[in-house]
Amino acid sequence: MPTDQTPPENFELLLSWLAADRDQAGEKYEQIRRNLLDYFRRREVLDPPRLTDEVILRVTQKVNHVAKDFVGDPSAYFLAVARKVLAEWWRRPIETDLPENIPVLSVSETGARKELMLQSLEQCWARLAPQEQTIVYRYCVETPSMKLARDRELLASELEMSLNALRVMAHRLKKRLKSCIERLMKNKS
Amino acid sequence: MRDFKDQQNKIRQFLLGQLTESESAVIEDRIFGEADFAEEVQIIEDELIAEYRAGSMRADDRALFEARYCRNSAHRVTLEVEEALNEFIQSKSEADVKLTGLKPSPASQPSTRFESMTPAGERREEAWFWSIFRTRRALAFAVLLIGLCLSIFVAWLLFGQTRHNPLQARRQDIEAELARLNTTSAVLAANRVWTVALQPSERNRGAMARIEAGKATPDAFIEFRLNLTQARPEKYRAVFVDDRQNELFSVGNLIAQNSRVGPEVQLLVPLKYLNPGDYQIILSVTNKNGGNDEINSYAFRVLESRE
Repeated sequence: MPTDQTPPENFELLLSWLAADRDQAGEKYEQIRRNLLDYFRRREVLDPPRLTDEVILRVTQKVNHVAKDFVGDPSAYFLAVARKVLAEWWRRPIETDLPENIPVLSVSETGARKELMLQSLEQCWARLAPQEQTIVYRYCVETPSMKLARDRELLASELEMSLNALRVMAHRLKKRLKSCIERLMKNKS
Repeated sequence: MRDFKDQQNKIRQFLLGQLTESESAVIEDRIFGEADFAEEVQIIEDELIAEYRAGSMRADDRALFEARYCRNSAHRVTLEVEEALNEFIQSKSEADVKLTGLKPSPASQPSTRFESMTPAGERREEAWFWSIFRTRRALAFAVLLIGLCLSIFVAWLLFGQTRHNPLQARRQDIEAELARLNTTSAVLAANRVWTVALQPSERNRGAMARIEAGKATPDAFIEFRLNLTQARPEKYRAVFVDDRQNELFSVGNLIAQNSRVGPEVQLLVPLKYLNPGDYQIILSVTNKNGGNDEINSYAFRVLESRE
């Protein structure tokens, strides 16, 4: 749910607007959130999660008016609101100079963060099935480009799927790993 | 089927900031409107990062990539995670990763975004369950028994039909592969793709296109180009039927595109799914009610070798 500024019934309404089935609605919500994060990241915004939350908050607050008459995919409405939020962000007051004693991550802190990331990675890796580990390993391990193409073709034929299907599968597995790392790091910090 | 290479280039340009504002807006609309397309953009972004890391990116692309990805803190986090993941994988030896026999299984294909990988700290339900089990054992057993019966019933409802019908299960597998093949950018070597242009049966005066399967490798793909008299903006669906009019499999969400010979629908099908014999492709278009209106049919014959 976006924030506590929104009535819970609005969030329920938002989900039912996205899809009649609750699981599908949850999936769609995650997909929209991911798209919004990517949208703001690619637009070189400093804090994509904040603007993403802002978009979801605005849509949730208006959903009871919008959902009734809106025709088409709700994702388009989210994108329209995101464009508006971005335009407002570009017009925001220019920030003042930073103070001289700005806290900067020291080398040790950066190292600790990387260490934490690697620890999380180890845990997330262990949660993949052995077969999934093998796929990620064989798909991502660095080899000369000619060999890489051949290795991937071989892997695809062992899995009885096309190269493109393998490409999508490897991406999904990596995505699971990445979101697992993000979740673990959030919990640990 | 879209022109994959062009689409990939367009996405690449979008990610490197080479498109105009209006072109970018079109891509963004598609990202929000089509889950497959959004995933394709993410995949190409991952591939760009891998190319950058491997030093195989062209100098001008590299400059654009650095200007976009290395100076923005939000992008840097993406790069950082990608970097760590890559380092981790490279640090593994083949011995660390159990190189198990690979067979496609549903487990390796994530079904939903909510599945698995919940960090240990989030698994509170487990502790709650065990505390009930310790204090009210009879109740817990009763709940377990009811749960078990319900799951067996649901599993029977869900999978019973498929299990009894292996043909249906195989068709679903083929259609899943065809959907992937025809909605995301396929990376296929040119020598593995055979192009077959088909005219609607009524305009072909009974003539039938021939595909000599014996000449192709078993892993070849056929790119069917289904000629249309008029392109429509709606999605098309192609159903493959054999000479006894048995429906074999179908491919949906196809779009018409213009070519030198006029509008056509393109679709990729692995040759392995087409045994020697006569086939028909029935092309339909999605109507306003969500159903399909049949518009054309196309006939072709697959030959074992030159007759």
